[in-house]
Amino acid sequence: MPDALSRYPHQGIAIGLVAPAMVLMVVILFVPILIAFLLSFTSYSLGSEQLNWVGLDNYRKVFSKSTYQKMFSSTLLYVAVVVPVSVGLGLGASLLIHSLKFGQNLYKTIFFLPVMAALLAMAIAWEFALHPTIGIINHTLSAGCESNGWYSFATGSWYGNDVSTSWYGRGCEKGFPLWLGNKDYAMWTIAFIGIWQAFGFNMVLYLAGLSSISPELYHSAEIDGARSAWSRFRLVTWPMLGPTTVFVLTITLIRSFQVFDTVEALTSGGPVKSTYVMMYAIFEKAIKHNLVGIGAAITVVFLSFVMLITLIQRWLVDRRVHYA
Amino acid sequence: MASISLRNIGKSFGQTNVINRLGLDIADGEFLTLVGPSGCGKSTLLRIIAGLETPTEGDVLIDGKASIKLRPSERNLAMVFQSYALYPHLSVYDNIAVPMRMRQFTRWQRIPFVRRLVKGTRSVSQDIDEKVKAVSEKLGLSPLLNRKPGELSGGQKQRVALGRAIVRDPVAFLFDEPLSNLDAKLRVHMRSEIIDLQRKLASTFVYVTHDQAEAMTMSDRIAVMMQGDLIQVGTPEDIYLNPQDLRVAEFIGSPKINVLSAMTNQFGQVCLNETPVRFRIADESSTEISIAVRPESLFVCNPSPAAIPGQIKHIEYMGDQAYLYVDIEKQSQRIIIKVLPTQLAGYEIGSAIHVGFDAKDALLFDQDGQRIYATPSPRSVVNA
Repeated sequence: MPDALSRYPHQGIAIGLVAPAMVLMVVILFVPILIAFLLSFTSYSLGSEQLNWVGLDNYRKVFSKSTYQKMFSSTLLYVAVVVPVSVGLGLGASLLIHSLKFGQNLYKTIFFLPVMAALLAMAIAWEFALHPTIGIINHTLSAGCESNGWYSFATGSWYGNDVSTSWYGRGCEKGFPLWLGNKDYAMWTIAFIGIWQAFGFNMVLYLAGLSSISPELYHSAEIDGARSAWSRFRLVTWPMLGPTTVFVLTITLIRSFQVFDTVEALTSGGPVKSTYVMMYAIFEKAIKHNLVGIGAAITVVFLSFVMLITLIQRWLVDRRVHYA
Repeated sequence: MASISLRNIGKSFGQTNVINRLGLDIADGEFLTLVGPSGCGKSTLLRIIAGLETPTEGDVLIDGKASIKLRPSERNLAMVFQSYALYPHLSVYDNIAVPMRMRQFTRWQRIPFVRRLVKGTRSVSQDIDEKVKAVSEKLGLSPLLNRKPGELSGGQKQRVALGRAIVRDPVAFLFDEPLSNLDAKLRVHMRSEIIDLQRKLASTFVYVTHDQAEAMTMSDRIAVMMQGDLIQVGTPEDIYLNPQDLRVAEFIGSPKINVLSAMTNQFGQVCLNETPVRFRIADESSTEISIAVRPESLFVCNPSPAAIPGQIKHIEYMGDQAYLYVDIEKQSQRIIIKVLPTQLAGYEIGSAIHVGFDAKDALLFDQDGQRIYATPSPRSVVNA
């Protein structure tokens, strides 16, 4: 390219300046992804001498075996519960806190604590709380069976309900659930902890979004006839929070797909694979069982999920919610 | 269309008084400007009229009706904000339509798509559509209806804000420094557009500005505010020629009025630099007073005992006029004389000149800045 070089005499310097960043990006981002992608077509395991090319075998397994079907369904259940609830709660909490005249910082700190705390440590605290016999949660629930007023309220017997058909009534008779040991409850319990941990972060992001809305817009809405809080929310708050919402949704989605610590600490994917989420599957296959090939295949599927979400977010930001 | 009366309005934030109990009557169809330096409480007063701020005491009467307890939306006023406060996610059309939809649609009709299912929506939306189109036609916004505010220039945004205000026939219009975000040329142009609009609508306009030129050129009456007090209310001519307070005299007029410090002696004679000027005041005691003279009322004259000697420090040539900046002995403030450019010949920086003024053009103020009146002697001209 003698022509280009003569037109840009400093091209050499330019390339030299860009090079460190490019090299780093290739070495620590592109190469590992590429290696994972290649490994996903092999039956490689760490330490083995040879590399067996198995083609799409790993992917066929991932999309057909029932274990992996459970993996997808538990991951999607987690995402489908945690994302809307934690985003909704985050928005609600930020609106409430934003309307306070004092005490804002206190609430911010309290709700943000789970975000700052190490999730693994918090998982241990949750494990104690959720313990079927000595845990505070089942303790409190069964203590309620003794209190007549609460019992009749919670079982619905004050309304004429049959005690044994209500969840609480059955709990009192047969004992309350093993939150983490029952396949019908485990994923929901993990999701609950996920919400508890994630919504403080969303709240802080929404608070930042709220404080950037000009008060003049609210005044203008008020004068234009938006009398109720709901109509001001519809006219000003919600649209102005559009960019924040897209960001919060994306971050929460990706973080929910990445759920791992609580599963590893509390259930190890069980019972009956009911909490076998993608990250945990990668960890179990590739690290614990040393089946790097299948682990890499799940990783590639996972990466394409995240990629898809990011692309949708880019598209939304460009199209719908960006106000120049 | 309505008159607005302020009764004993006071506003304080904690210990700080922003507005000290003031009263003001704004007639139906009048263009009244609230003018004053920043922080004088004029914007707060406007927001009290709008209902966005609750006064600590007093009442606002709109068309004779006590309105202090009414929500802003119930007062049926329109307001244009300095930042325009357009809804950035809505098109120009929707921005203008918002006040109509908020008032004419029911709760269900305000939700997009759902509104199609509600009976009677079509006739209401047609009515709204006609109004929005008529208003945008009037303001020259028709080609821009589908744009978002982010794609508009400052002047166009200003017009959309005006459109949103006039679309629903409010009883009065409130403007909070609407032109201060525009460049100088556009500002002068929008001034005349707003005046035209007011003549067409024949509605009550309350206009807040810190720009005395806007106040002078646009208003039927000007209300000058300083430090939370309403100092003087009057027509532009009245405010300019007959300021009742030194601060008003200094605030209105560009360049600023010249203030000379003077003494009165025991005979009531006014002495400028120990030389008696030929007018007197009724109060026969020796006090300090201020003589204020507009730059256009000062002139360069021949030396005489009564003329004030000074030295030119700076000359400003403006094309159609020129300003001489003159230092006068024993006076702390440099004075400004407005002259015709043709009169500049022979003067340069450093020239010693004599300055005179006609006694009828001099405004006298006491130590507290209150206006006092001279009793001119028959030969009342200061210059020889």
